[in-house]
Amino acid sequence: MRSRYTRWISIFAVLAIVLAACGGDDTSDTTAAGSTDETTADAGGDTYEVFALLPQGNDQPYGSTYLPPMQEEADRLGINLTITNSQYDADKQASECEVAVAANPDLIILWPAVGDTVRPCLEAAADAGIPVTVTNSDVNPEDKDLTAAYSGPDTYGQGVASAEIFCDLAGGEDVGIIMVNGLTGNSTAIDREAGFEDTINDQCPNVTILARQPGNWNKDESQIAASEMITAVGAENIGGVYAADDTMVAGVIDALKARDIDPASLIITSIGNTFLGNPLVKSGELDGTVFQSSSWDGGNAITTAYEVLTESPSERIVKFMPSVKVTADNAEDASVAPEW
Amino acid sequence: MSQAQGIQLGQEQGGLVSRIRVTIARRTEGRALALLILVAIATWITEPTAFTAWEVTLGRVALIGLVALGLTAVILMGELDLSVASTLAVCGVVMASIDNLALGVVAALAVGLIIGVVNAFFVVVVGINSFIASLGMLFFLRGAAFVISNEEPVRLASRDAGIAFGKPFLGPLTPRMVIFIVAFIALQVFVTRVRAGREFYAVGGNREAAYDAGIPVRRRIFTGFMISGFVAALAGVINTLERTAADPTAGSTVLLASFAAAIIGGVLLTGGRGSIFGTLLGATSLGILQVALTLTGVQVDVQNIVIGLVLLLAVITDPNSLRTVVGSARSLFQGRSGSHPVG
Amino acid sequence: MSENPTTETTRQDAGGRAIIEARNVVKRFGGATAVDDVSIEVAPGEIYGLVGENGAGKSTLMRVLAGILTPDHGSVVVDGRELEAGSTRAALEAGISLVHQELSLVPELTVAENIVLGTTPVQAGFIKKREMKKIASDALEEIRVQVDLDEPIVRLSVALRQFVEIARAIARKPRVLILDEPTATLTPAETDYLLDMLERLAGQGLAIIYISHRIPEIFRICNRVSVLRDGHLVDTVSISDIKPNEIVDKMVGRELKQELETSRTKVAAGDVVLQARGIKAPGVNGIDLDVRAGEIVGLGGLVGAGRTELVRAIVGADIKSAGTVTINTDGTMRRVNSYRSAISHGFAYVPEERRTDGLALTMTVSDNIALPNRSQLSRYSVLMRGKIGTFAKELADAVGLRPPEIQREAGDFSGGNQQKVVLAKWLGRKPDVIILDEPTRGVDVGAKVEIHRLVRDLAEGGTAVLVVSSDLPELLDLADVIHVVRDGRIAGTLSRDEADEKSVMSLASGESQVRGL
Repeated sequence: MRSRYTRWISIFAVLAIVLAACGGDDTSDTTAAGSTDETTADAGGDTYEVFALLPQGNDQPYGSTYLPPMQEEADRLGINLTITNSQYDADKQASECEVAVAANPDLIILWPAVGDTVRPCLEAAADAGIPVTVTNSDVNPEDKDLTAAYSGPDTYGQGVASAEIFCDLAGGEDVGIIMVNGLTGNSTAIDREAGFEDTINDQCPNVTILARQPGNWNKDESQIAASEMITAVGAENIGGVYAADDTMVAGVIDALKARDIDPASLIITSIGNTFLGNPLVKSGELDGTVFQSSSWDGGNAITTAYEVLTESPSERIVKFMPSVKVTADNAEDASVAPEW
Repeated sequence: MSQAQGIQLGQEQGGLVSRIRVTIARRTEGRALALLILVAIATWITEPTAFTAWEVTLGRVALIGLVALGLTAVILMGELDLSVASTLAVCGVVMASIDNLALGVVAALAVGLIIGVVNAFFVVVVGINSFIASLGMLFFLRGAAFVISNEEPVRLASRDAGIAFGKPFLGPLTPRMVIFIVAFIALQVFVTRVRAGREFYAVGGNREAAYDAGIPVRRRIFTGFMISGFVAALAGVINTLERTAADPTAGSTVLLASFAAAIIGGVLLTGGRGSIFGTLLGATSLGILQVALTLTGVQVDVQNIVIGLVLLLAVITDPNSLRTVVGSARSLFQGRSGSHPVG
Repeated sequence: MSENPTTETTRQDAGGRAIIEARNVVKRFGGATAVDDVSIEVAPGEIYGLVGENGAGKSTLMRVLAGILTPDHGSVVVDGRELEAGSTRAALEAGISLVHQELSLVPELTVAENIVLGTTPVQAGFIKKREMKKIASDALEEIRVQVDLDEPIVRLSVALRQFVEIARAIARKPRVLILDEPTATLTPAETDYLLDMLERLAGQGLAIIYISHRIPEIFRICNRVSVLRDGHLVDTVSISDIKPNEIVDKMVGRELKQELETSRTKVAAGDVVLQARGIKAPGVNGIDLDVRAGEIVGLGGLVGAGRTELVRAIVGADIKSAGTVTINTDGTMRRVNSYRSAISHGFAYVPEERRTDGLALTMTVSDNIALPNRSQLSRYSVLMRGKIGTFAKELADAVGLRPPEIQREAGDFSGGNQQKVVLAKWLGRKPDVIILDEPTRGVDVGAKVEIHRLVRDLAEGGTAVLVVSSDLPELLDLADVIHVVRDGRIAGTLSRDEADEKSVMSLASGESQVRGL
C-alpha cells in the first residue's frame, strides 16, 4: 500500500513537471522578454508587456481571424502579448482584469465582454497607472475618459455606408423598406440604426421606413421578425430591406422566399461581408453590405496600443475601421474577401 | 481480530506520529491537498505572480469557490443542483432591477432561497430525480433572467456603491473575499458540528439508515437546496455589485467550475463523502491554476485541457479507481499476450 | 399457540409477563401475504429464536415490530399498551431496537456519530460532542467492544461494523432487542463472543428476539423458538422440547433428514479439465490446482486466506500477476487469460457477492437467466423473446425457484432464491467447469439442500466443480477432495476419507504441518 502510494506520488510529480514544462514553453517568451524588457528599458526600451482581455478567441469565427494579425503585429512591433478569453462571461473578464492589473503590464487592451460592467476594471487600471485601449466595441460614453484609445468598427459609419448603398440603388424613387435591427439596447445596434436612418433622411428622403423590429443578431429571430413585418405592411408595399448584419439579412431573405418574393427584385443591404453575406452579394440576392474586417480589427488593436505607448498622446485616439462598401461590382475582389 | 475474551476489534493506540497518520488517513481531502501542493509548486516555478499578487488569486478562488461551497451541501446528500449558475444570474438581475440597493440585495437573496425550496419541492415532494429537476430549473431561470432583464445587462442604480464594493475594506481583503471566508467557516461548522448538517452525510451515505434512525430526511434535503440557492444568490449579488451591472448571461462558466472544485476536493457525487474543506481546497487549486494560466496567456481551450487533466487526475487517484485502472491496464497486456489455444 | 402447553411453562422460566407481543399481525405486499396472522410474545430476560426459510416472513414481522412497516391487520403491544402502528419513533420510545440484516450505518460518519444517529444530543442545534461520546462509549462498554470512537465506519472491518450496529441498538436503552441474522458475516470466534454477550444482556433483563439460519446458535442461546413458513407461524416451542432436525422439518415442511445425510456416491473422476499452475495474485502466493471432470474439489480455510482471490484469479475476474490456467475439453487445451475467454471456454462462475456481482437485481429472472446464454437464444444477434421465456422457465423449474415467477425482478426474491437464479443462468450453458464461491451463505436450510443437490447433479453430469465454502459441514458433505488454503498457499490437501472438521480446521489455522498430499 505504501509503495503503491509512493509510486503514484512520483507519477504525480512527473506529471506536474510535464505540466510545468508545458507552461514553461508557453511562457518562455514572456519570461525571456520580461528580462530583456528590463535591460532594454535601461537602454531606451522598445519592448512592451501588453495584456489583451478579449471575450472570444479561437472559439469564435471572428476571434480566430482576429487573433493572427494581432499577434503578427505585436511581434513586428516588439510587443509581448498575453491574451485572455473570458467567453463573454463578465465576471471572468473582471477577474482576468484583476490578474492583468496585478501583472503590471505597460498597457491593457480591452474588448468589453459586457460594456456596462467594465467600469471597475478601468478604475483599477487607472489606479495602477496602466493605460487601457479599447478594441472592437467601444465602452460607454461616461467611461471613455478612462481609456486612451479606441480602434475598431465605426458602427455609426457602417450604418451610413449601408444607407449610401441603398440611396444609390433607390435612385430617387419612392421606396418603402422594413428594418431588422440588432439586440435592443446594444450600442452597436443603436449606432448602426442611427447611422442608417440619419443618412436615409439626409440623402434620400424618398426612402421611408415602414416598420422596424429587432432580430437580436439571430437568423431565426430575424426571419420571424421579417415575416411579421411583411404581413403587417403588405408585401406589395415593400421595396427594400435593411438588416443590421449579414446573419440577420440571411434570415430576411429566407422569409421573403417563403412568401414567394424574389429577393433580387428588392433593394437589400446589410453590414458585415461575412462568409454568409458575401456569397449573397455575389448571387445578387443581397445588393450591398459593408465590410467589417476582423484582421483590420486585430492588427489595429496593436498599432493603436503601440501609438499610445510610444507617443503618450494627450487626446483619446479613435481609429475607425474604414467602412468599405461591398456590392456586386467588387464582391469578387481579393481586398474584400470575407474573413469570418 | 480473533479471540473471544476481551475481543480486540479496534486498533491499538499509538504514539503521536501514528495518531497523526490515523487522523490523516481518516480525512477525505488528502488527494485534494496533494494536488493543491503540486499545482502550487508548478505555479510557483512558472508564474510566481500568482502568489505575489495573492489578493487577485484569492479573488478568483472566491469567485469560483463560493457557489461550489453551497453546491457541496447538496452533493453531500447525493443530490445535484445544476441550477446554481442560472440562480446566480436571475438573482443578480432581480437585484439590479430594484432601485433601492438594500431592498435589491434582500430580494435577490430571498429569490435564491425560494429557488432552493422549489428545487427541493420537486425532488422531495414530487419525487423527480434532482438532476432532472434542477436541469429544468437551469433552463427556466436562465430564461427568466433574460425576460426580467429585457435581454440586456441591467445597470445598478448606484454604480458608485458597486465600485466601492469592489475595493479592499479589511486590510487587503475585498468584501467578496470576506464573505467567502465567512461562508466557508459557517458551512464548515454547519456540516461538522451542527446536527442537521452532520446528518447530511447520513442522508447521502445511507438514506435508508437515515430514515430508519428517524432523521427528517425531507427536511434535510430542503435545507441543502436552500443553502445552495442562497449561496448562489449571494454570489450573484456580489458579482452584480462588483460589476455595477447584472448580466443575464452571467455565470456561464460557473456551473462546471463549481462542480469541478467539489470533485477535485474529493466530494463524491453520489453523496455521503467529502467535505466543505475539500471543496475549498479544490477551488483553491482551480483558482491558482486559472490565474497562472491566464498569466501565461495560453488560449482558453488549452486552459480547459489542463483543467480537465487535473480533474481526471483528482478522480483517478481515488484508491478505488486506481485499483481499477491498474487492473484494466494489466489485463490489457495479459489479454494481448495471447488468448490462443496452446494445445 | 394455545394448543402448545410448553408455552406457559417457558414463559414462567423466562420470568413472568410478556413485554412485547405481536397480535394477529398480517402484512401484505401487493397480492402476496408476507406475514399471515402471526402472534408471538416475548418476556423480559428471554432470548426468543425465530427461524424459517428465506422469504418465510421473519424480517417482515420484525420490521412491523420496529414500526418500520405498518401491518395490514393486527397490532404490536408493549407492556399491555398498543403501539402506534408504523411509527419508528413510537417503537424506539417504547424501547424496541432493531439490528438490521443489511448494515444500516453511515459509512463516512464516525463510530460515535453512528451510535447516536437520529438521537444526537444537541444544544441549540450544535452537537454536544462530549455527551455523544459518553453515550457511545457506554454502549460499547456494555457490549465490551473496544473501538476508537472517532473512526469513520468505512475504516472498520465488516465484523466490527456489526458490533457498532449492536452498540447503536444498545445505546437506545432498549427493553426489546431484535437481531436479524447478526452472525452472517462473523467468524466463529466473533460469533461466540456475540452469543455470550447476548446471554449476558438477557441476564440483565433484556428481551431479545434472535433470527438466524444457524440452528446450533438457536440451540445455544434461545429459550424458545418460533418457526415461520410462508408467512404462517408453524409452531412455538421451548428449546428443551425439540431437536435440531425437528426444527428443520418444521421450517421446510417436509422430511429432509434423508436428503441432508445423503452422501454423494463417489463418481470415478475423469480427465483433468481445469488446470491452474503457479497462480499468483494479491493474496495468492503461487497455487497449483487440478479439477477433473465429475469431481467436486473443495477449497477450505479461514476467511481472508486467499480462497476467493484464488478463484477470481483463475476465472480472470481479477488480475493474476503470474501463473497459467488451462481448460482441457474434447482433447483441446485452451489458455484462459481473461474473464471473457474463461466464459467462452466453458467456465461458469458464481461469485460470493451475488447481490453485486452475480445478478442484475432490477432485471427479471428471465432476463438474468438469458444473460450469459445470449448466443444460443438469438438469431442474427437478435434475441428471441419467446425462446427466452421457455428457456428460463425450464431452468427456473430445474433449480426449484420459488415462487416460480420468472417475469419478476430478481431483487424481489429471497437470498436463497436469488442464488438459485444465479445457478440457473449458468446451468443453461452446460458448463465444463463451474466455480462456486460460498454458494449457500445466507441461504436457508431448504434452499441449501436443493443447491447441494444441483451441485451434485452437475458433477454427475461430468462438470468439474470447484467450491469455496466456509461452512465446514457443507464442504465435507460435498467435496471429493479438499484443499485447505492458508496465507495464499495450499496448506494441505485432504481426501474425502481423511477430511473431518478437525483436520480441516487444524490445517486452516496452521496448527498442524502439511500432511497427506
